[in-house]
Amino acid sequence: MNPSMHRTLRTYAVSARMSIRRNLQYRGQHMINNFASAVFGFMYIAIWRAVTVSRPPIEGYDSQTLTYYIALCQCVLWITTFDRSGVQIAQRIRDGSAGIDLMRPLGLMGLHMSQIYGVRLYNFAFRSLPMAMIFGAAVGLPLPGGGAPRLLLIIPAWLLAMHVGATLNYLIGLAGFWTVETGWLYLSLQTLILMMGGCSLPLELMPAGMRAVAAVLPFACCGYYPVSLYLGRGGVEVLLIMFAWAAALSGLAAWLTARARLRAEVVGG
Amino acid sequence: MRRTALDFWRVFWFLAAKGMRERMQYKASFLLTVLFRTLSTTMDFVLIAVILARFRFIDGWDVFEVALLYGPVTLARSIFDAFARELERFEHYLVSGDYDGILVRPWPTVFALLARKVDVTRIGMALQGLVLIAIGASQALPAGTLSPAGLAYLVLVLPLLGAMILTAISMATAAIGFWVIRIDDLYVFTMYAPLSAAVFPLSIYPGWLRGLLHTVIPVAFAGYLPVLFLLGKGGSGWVLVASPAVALISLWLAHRLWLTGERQYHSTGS
Repeated sequence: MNPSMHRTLRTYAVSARMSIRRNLQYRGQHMINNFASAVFGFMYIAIWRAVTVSRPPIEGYDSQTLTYYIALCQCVLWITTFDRSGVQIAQRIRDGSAGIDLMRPLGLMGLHMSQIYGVRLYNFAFRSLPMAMIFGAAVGLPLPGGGAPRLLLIIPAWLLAMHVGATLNYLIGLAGFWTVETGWLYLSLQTLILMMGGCSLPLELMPAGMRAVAAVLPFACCGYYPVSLYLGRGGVEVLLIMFAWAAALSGLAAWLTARARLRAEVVGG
Repeated sequence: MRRTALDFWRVFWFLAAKGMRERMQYKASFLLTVLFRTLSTTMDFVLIAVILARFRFIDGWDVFEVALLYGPVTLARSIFDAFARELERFEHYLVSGDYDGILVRPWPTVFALLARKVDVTRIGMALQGLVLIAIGASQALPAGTLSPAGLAYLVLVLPLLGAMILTAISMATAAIGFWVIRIDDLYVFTMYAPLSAAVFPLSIYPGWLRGLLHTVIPVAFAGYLPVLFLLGKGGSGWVLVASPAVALISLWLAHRLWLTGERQYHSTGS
C-alpha cells in the first residue's frame, strides 16, 4: 500500500471513530430506545405465535424458530437499516454544507461511507448486542450453533449485511443531488427492507410471486440472509449472493458519486 | 381581551394555510411524499393480509375484521399526523431554543406549537384508512356482524377519539422533555410501538404489554376495545362511552403535565 493510500484510509478510520464518539454521547437515550425496539420485536413475536400456535412447522419454521427469527431481525436491522445518515447527507446538500465536503481532499463516498460505518459499528455494540441480550433473557435466543465453520459464514454475512445497508443508505444521500426531499426515499427503503427483506416474514412464507420478487432484490441481504445463516439455514451460496450485491451496489454508488460531483448544484450556504 | 373559539379557529387556519402553501412549493417532492407515505402504510397492511392469507385467523380475527381495526387506527393516526405532528418534533424546539419564540406568542403555547404545521401529505393515509374500513365493512355488514350505526361510529367517531388519545400521549411525552430535553427515543416507546401494536387484536400480546396499552398508553380505547364490542366479539357497550371519557381525561392530564413542565423550561440562551 502506498503512503498516500495509507494516509487516506487512516483519515477514513478517524472519520468513522468520530462518528462513533458522537453517538456515544447519546448512549443513555439509545438504551431507552433499545427497550422500545424490543417491544416491537415482542409485538411481532406475539403475532407469529398467535398465528402458528398448535400448528405443525411450515417450510421448516415452527413457532420457536419464528420467535428467534424475528428477534434476530430486530438485532440485524440496527446495523443495516435504522440509521438516517443518508437523509443527513441530503440535508448537507440542501443547506450548502456539501460544498465543503466536495472541497475536502478526500473521496465523497469514502468520507460518508466511513461515517455511516461508524454509526453502524456503534449500533452493533450499543443497539444490536443489548437487544440480543434482552431477547436472550426473554425468549431464550440462543448463540449460533454449528461451531467455527458456521461462524465463518455468519461473521462475513453480518459484515456484508452492514455494507449493503450502508451503501443503500449512502445512495439515499446521493439522491439529494437530484431531488430536494429524500425523507420519502428513506421511508421507502425502510419499508422495502422490512417487507421484501424478510424482516417481518421469512421469504419461504411469502406467496410465490412476492418471494420471486424478493429473491432478485438486494433487501434480503439486510435481514433474511444474515438471520437465516445464524439459524443454520443456507450455506456458502448465500454468502456469494450477498457478496455479489455488495459489489454491485458499491459499483453503482461509485458511479453515481462521480456523476453527482459533476451535477453539484448546492442550494443555500 | 377574551378570545373566542372562533378567534382560535381563524388564527389556526391562517397559520396552517401558510404552512400548506410552503409545503406545496416543491410540488413533485410533495406528491412523492404523499405517494410513498401511503405506499409505506399500505405495505404494512399488505403484510398482515399476506400472513392471514396463509394462516386465516389471528386469535379468531380474520383479515376483514383486522381491516376494521386497522382502518380507524390509521385514520386516527393520519388526523394526528396532520394536525399535531409538531409535538413529535418538540425535542428540536427544546434543544435549539426555538421554544422561546413559541412562549412570546399571545396564544396558549400548545396551540401556537400545533399551528406551526399542518401536514397535508397525510391525506393518502386517511384515504387508506377509509378504504380498509370499506373492505372490512363489505364483509361484516352483509354478515350482520357489524351494524350500520357501528360502521358510522368506526368512521366518524373512533378516528377522532383515536386522534385525541394520540395527541394526549404525544403531548405527555413532549412535556417530559421539559425535564429531560432528549425525548425522540422516548417517542418510540410511547407512540410508535403502541401505534403499531394497536392495529392487531391486543389479546395476542403478553399480559404486561396488554396492561400498558389499556392504561398508561391507552391506545386500546382508540381501536381494539370499541371494535371488539361493535363486531360482537366481546366486551360491554360501556366501552363506547368509556372511549370518549378516556380521550378527554387523557388530554386533560397531558395538558396539566405540559403546563407543569413548562414552568421548568430553561432556554438554551443565545
